[in-house]
Amino acid sequence: MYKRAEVKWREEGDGIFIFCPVRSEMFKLNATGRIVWAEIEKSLPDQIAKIISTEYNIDHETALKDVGICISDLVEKRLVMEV
Amino acid sequence: MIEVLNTPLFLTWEVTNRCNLRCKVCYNASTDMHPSEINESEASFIIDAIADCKPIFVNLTGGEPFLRPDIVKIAKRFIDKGTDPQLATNGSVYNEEMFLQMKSIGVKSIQVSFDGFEAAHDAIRGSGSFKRALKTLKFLIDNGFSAKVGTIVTRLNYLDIAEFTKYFYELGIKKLGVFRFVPTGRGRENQSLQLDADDLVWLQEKLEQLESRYGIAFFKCDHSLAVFLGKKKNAGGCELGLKCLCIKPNGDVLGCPFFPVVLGNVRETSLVKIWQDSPILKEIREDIRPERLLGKCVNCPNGIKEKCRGGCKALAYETTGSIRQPDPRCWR
Ligand SMILES: C[S@@+](CC[C@H](N)C(=O)[O-])C[C@H]1O[C@@H](n2cnc3c(N)ncnc32)[C@H](O)[C@@H]1O
Ligand code: SF4
Ligand code: SF4
Repeated sequence: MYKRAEVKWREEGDGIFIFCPVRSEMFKLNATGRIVWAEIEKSLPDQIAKIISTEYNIDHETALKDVGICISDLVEKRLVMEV
Repeated sequence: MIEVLNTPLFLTWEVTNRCNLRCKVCYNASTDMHPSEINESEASFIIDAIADCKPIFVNLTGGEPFLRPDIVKIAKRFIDKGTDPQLATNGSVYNEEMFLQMKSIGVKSIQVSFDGFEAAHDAIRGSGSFKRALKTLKFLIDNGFSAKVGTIVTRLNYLDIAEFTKYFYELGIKKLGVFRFVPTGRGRENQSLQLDADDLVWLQEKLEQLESRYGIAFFKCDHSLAVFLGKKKNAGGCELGLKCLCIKPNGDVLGCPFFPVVLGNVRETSLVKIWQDSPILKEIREDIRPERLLGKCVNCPNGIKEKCRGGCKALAYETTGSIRQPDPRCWR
């Protein structure tokens, strides 16, 4: 998974704003989305889920499901690429 | 709840008021240099003030930015600070050397204005301006810039949008900005060029078809229309007071390029301080709360006032004097 080269982002409070200058579209991710964004290029979904379940004290299965949804969403919004 | 960010995400800096064209729609009514324009020795200070906001997007515009002799230096300082600026040009200051310097310092994105095909464009921007802009655009494409086309949609050009998109797509353009005409500045004398609400809805739907046909990315300065049509999950309304600031050629700071109320001057007050403490911005942020909206927004027939926030605030202010009133082109 790679963040698209044109995409810019800025952390704000617990979340993160991600901006696609190609489409001038802005997206906001919550605190768990922020972890996904930070890890997406270096960790597998399972490893990201582990970080989230430890940080937020939720079970691994739920965290993994959330990570999956978040990643598909990022792909659909053309913010990351599956390589 | 209205969320207030620590600093704005989008910064526009109109680096000069000077322009070689006299477009009939220009919201700035740009002509000559402002008598108190931010000069070369002050530019670094302004760039640092912008960088302190950690913006996601910086747009250098004007007037005509390529008429500023130090524009390459300005762009370079932004890049050195880690911010990749976009330049917006009328394309009629053809200067290969300057474009190549921009390329070599790492500028990627330049937007060239085309307000329709030649007849419509020249009617608005002056005779010969289409051909000059096209020459610039082709040079930028050939030299590997991420060139964009920016177009103001008016009565003169909107029906040609499909042909227009195809034409620029075939030239190699992947990004097309479609901007609603905000009739301020010189545009005030040409209000009849505005589209009405039904035309805007037709246009939005047409753009969506074109987007999937050509894979071209459209970016629109019409956030609330996307909300109205419910097409984009993430679409939010007008960004005045919430995400953007604009610095005028003399350092005056506005909430958006089209909203003429001065919040302060960057020569005297930092942008961060203006963003966080300006009493006018605080009032704006109060007035855009859904429960403060007036007129038909009170009982929004579309049930979207939390997201739409009453449409374009600059247009509401221009026509009614209040940002609490609905956008005069509300789509219902
Ligand atoms: C003021 S111009 C300055 C840059 C350059 N001279 C040009 O014409 O592109 C910046 C952008 O504002 C757009 N613009 C100008 N007047 C406008 C108006 N009344 N409503 C909407 N957009 C406008 C232009 O088309 C251009 O995309
Ligand atoms: S829209 Fe651009 S080119 Fe036209 S007068 Fe204004 S600043 Fe100059
Ligand atoms: S009534 Fe107001 S809030 Fe509703 S769509 Fe129109 S402008 Fe937007």
